[in-house]
Amino acid sequence: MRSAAAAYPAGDEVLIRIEDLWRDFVMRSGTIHALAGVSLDIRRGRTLALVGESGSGKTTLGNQILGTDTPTSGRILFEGRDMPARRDTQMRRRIQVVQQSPYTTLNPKRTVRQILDLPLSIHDGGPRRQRRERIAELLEIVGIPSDFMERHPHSLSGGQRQRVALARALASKPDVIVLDEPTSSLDVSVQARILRLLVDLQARYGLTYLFITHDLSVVRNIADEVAVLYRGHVVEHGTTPELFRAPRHRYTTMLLSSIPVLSEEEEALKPAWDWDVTATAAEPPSTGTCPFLPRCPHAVASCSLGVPPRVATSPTNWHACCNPRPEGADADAR
Amino acid sequence: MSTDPVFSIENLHLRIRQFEGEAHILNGVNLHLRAGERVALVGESGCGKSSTAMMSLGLMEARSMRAEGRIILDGTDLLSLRRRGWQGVRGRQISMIFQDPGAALNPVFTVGDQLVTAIRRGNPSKSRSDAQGLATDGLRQVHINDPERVMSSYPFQLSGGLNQRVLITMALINRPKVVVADEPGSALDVTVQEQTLRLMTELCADVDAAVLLISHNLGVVRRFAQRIYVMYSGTIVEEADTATLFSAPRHPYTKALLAAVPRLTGERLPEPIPGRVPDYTDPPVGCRFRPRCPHQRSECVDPPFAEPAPGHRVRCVL
Repeated sequence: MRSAAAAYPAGDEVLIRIEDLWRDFVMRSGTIHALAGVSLDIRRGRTLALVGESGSGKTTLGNQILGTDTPTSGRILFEGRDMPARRDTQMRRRIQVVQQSPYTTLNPKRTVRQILDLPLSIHDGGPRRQRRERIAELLEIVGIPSDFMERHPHSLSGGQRQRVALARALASKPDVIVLDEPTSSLDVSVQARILRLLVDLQARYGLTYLFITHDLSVVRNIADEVAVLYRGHVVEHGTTPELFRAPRHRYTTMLLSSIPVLSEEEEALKPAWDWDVTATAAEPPSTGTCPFLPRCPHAVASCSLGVPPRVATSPTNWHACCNPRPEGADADAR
Repeated sequence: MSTDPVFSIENLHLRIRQFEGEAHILNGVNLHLRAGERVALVGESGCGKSSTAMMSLGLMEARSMRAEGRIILDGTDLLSLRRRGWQGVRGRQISMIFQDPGAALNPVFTVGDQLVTAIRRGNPSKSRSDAQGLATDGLRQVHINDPERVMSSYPFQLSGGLNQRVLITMALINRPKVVVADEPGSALDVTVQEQTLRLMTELCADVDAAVLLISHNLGVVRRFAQRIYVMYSGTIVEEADTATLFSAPRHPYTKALLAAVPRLTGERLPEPIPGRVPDYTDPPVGCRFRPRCPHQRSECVDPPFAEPAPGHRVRCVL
């Protein structure tokens, strides 16, 4: 695997820049900030993983990038240019999506060929014969036998369906694919195959991935960078090896320590966390403080004074924590 | 810890008639739980682990189903029970914690109503107010600080983590001997899942209930269980204590499964398992993993259970 260097290699170009993005949902019970001032860069040809618990805003952010949802305020730049909320065909061609459940995202009444033909006919795939050749090519790329073309999704396994979904995303030759939990509904043995395919495709076509997931072990193996989301805030961001080796934000620490692992060797890589089984996650949505404050056992006075500012810990990594986990904390504890 | 099993499944076969033919879902499952023991049944989707759980609670009552073997709880063969017989058993001596707490609770009754019903079902002589007191205490035991509020709430008014605690309370409230937990917390976030597992460990020790944890997540299983059964295609292929299974797995399927899990060391991508799960209506004779196994040979047609160490059993000729 590509190892992410301490600093970004020269020429690592920012493809998508997210600037102070807000998305508010106004409910009867009050306004929910699904995204509360998110700023992030997505680099070309790299994988940025978006992690966080359900309701943290991962999918909302993915939708903003896809253009299927409009922000309340803030902007997204693509190759330095402002991306409008309403995208034209060209923009839609360049950003594609693979969603979580291949059981609900493929039209059960269409054959594999018809499913793949739709994006081709929208994005100018040429005359029928040319599109047919392209479909065969796409199936080969994702490792589906070409005689599956006239099959319906119900006769495919979960892994095969996800391959078809991936082929559909690739049909328009995109630059970016938003992968929204692409392997969470698959068994590990199948997941391993899809992950390999994703890595392979990225190397072949220089794809940029926004990888939305809650599975941190997967993130460790396939992402170049990680952004940790908590209640609409990015609380920590940086290169994967560094973030996993030395998490600083307390929420990141809690998250990493909750990963179920298979060996003592991995156990030693997890940060320590004092688990309090009595704690319940019933917390009021708070604004103007650290979003993690109600659950944080390490809170200090300054946590409630405002949303904590970003603190850079290296050229690539930063966190937004008032009382961060000290660096090398576990080494001292052992 | 006593060595006599409190619960055991002996040579359980399950066949279900389908359009394609008769599917041989469970193919001679053997497992046992000792009192207070935490045991896990792990395998991929469709391997039969949930069918085993459902059979254990008498929840598979399809007319097209044919079951053989025995499921013994405290000397009673559960397979021989009819509807009436189950009433004194299910929820009292053996209970279940379901995967998705949001779906397992009834949305039109308050949590309190549902807990009281569960208690009075086990103990019809208990008065309503006694049961209410018991339920409140039960919720306090799962560290719910404001049990009164939770009792009067509907499940949709509570978070997933709280509902999960309610389910755990409900499963343990009649102090069953055995609890079957089907992927508890896996519908929830990892941090909540971690809390759930800790809570279950603590509480099951309190009431001395044996737990059969059904899971596909090897990491979760390692965290929770003392002993593990690995299931593949309706067969137990390996059983061992947790430390042995992870440090010295013997069956090729166990090894392949372990290699397929992404590791935190991040050194390389996980290894896929070639091939796919066999067709249950026409499974391979003998070892069902044989078509996918890198070590297959002719003896695989009827592999015996080898016992490389006491308590470590492997259904493989290797």
